[in-house]
Amino acid sequence: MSNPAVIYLSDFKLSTGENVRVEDNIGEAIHIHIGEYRFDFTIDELIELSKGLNDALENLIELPQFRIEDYDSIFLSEVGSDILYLTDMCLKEVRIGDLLVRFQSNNGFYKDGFIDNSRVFKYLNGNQKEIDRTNQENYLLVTNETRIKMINESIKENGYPHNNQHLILFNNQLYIRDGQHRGAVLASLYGLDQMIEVKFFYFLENKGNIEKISIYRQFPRIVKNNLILFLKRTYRFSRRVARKIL
Amino acid sequence: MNYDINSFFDDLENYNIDFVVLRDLNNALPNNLSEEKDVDIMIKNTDINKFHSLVKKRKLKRIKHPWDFGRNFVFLYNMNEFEMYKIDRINIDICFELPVRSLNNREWMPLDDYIYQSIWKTKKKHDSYYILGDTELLVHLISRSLLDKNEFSKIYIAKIESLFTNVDKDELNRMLSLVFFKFTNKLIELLSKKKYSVIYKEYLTFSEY
Repeated sequence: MSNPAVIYLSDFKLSTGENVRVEDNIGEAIHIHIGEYRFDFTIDELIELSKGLNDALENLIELPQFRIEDYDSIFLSEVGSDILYLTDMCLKEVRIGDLLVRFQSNNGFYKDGFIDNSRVFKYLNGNQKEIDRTNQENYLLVTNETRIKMINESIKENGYPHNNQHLILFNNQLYIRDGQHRGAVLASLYGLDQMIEVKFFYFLENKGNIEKISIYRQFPRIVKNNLILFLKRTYRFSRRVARKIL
Repeated sequence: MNYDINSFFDDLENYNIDFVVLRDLNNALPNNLSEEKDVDIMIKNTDINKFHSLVKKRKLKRIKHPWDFGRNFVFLYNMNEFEMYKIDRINIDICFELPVRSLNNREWMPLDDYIYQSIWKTKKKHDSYYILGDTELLVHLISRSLLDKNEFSKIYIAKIESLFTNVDKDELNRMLSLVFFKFTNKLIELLSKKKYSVIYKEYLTFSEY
C-alpha cells in the first residue's frame, strides 16, 4: 500500500521536459521524482541538499548583494531559471496605491489592477466574500483567511520590511511579483498614499516582464477548463446510469 | 413482509457474500437505528458481482452518496467507489475495501492488503451480522481518526481504550506500521499515554525519518 500521508512539497517541469515532484511521505521518506526516477531522502538529507542547492544558486548569480535568505523560497522557485539573468537590484520608494497586481476573478479570468482592486485588499476593507476559506496551496492547513490575519499581525508587530524581506518588483514594472498579501495589508493599514520601500530586480533584456493579457486571449483557456469539467461530470453521470441499467 | 436491515444481513449470508459492519459504536444495530445515522458495511471486493446480483434481485434503491462531489469521490489504486442504498429508510454505506483518506488531496485509498485479508480471517459473528476483529477495528479507528477526521472523538477514544490493552501488541504494531511507518512507535506511545489531543500535530510534525 502507498503511504496515505503524502504531502506534495513541489511539482514542476524542468526546461528539458521532465516532471519533478517532491513529496513528503510522513514516517517513511522524502521522495524526489525526476522523470522515471525516484530518489529517497531522509529529512536531514533533504535539508542538506537544499543548502547545497542554495549555495550553488548564490554562486551562479553574479550579484554580491543577492542573499538567498532574503527571499521566499516559493517565490524563487516561481522565478525559476530567469533568476540567472538577474543583472542588478536596488531599493526604491513607491506609493502603495501605484502598485499593480494580477489576480484571477471568480470566473477564472486574469485581470490587472491597482492594489486596491486586489481581492485581499477588498477583504481587509470589509468584503468578506472576496476571500474563501480554502487552504493555501503552499501552506499546510492554513486557509487564505488565516494567512491574511497572520501577515496583518506580523506587520503590526514587526513592521515592514521584516528580516530584509521587501516587496519585489521586476524591471521598471510596478506589478508586485512577491508580496501581494503584504502589499494589500500595508495599503489597508497605512493608506494608498503611503510611500514604502520596495526592491526592484532587473533582468537581462527585461526578462520576466508581465505582458498585458486581453480577455479575448483568455477565452480558449476558460472554455477548455469548463469543457473538461463538463466532460468529467457527464462521464460520471453516464457511468451511474449504465450501472443502473446493467 | 418489510425488507429491513436484518433481511439485508440474511440475504448477504444466504448469497455467500463476505461482509462486516465496520463500526457500530453506538450499539444501534440491529434494532435501534435512526435515519440520521448510516450503517457502514464493507463487502469483500471479490464478492462485488454477487452483491450487485442481490441488489438487482431485491431491487434495492441506490441513492447518491453524500460524498459524491468534487474531490471527495476520487478513489486511488483501483479502489471501488462507495455505494449507498436506502433500506427501510436507513442509509447503508457500502465500501469494498477498508478506506482511508489521503492527507494531501483527500482522495480515498485502501488500507494495506495484509490488513484487508486479516479482516476476513478474524471477523466475528455478532447477532445477525459480522464485525471486525479487535486488532483490525483498532487499526481502523486509529487510521480514521488521524487521516480522515484529523482528531480523536470521545466515542472513538472510548472504544480505542477498551480495545488497546487487550490486543496483541506485536500484531497491532505490524498493522499500524503498514499505515504510519516510522511514526508507529511514537503513535503507540501517545495512545498508551492517552495524549489524543496532540497525536495529529505530532504526526504532521514527525521528522525522525
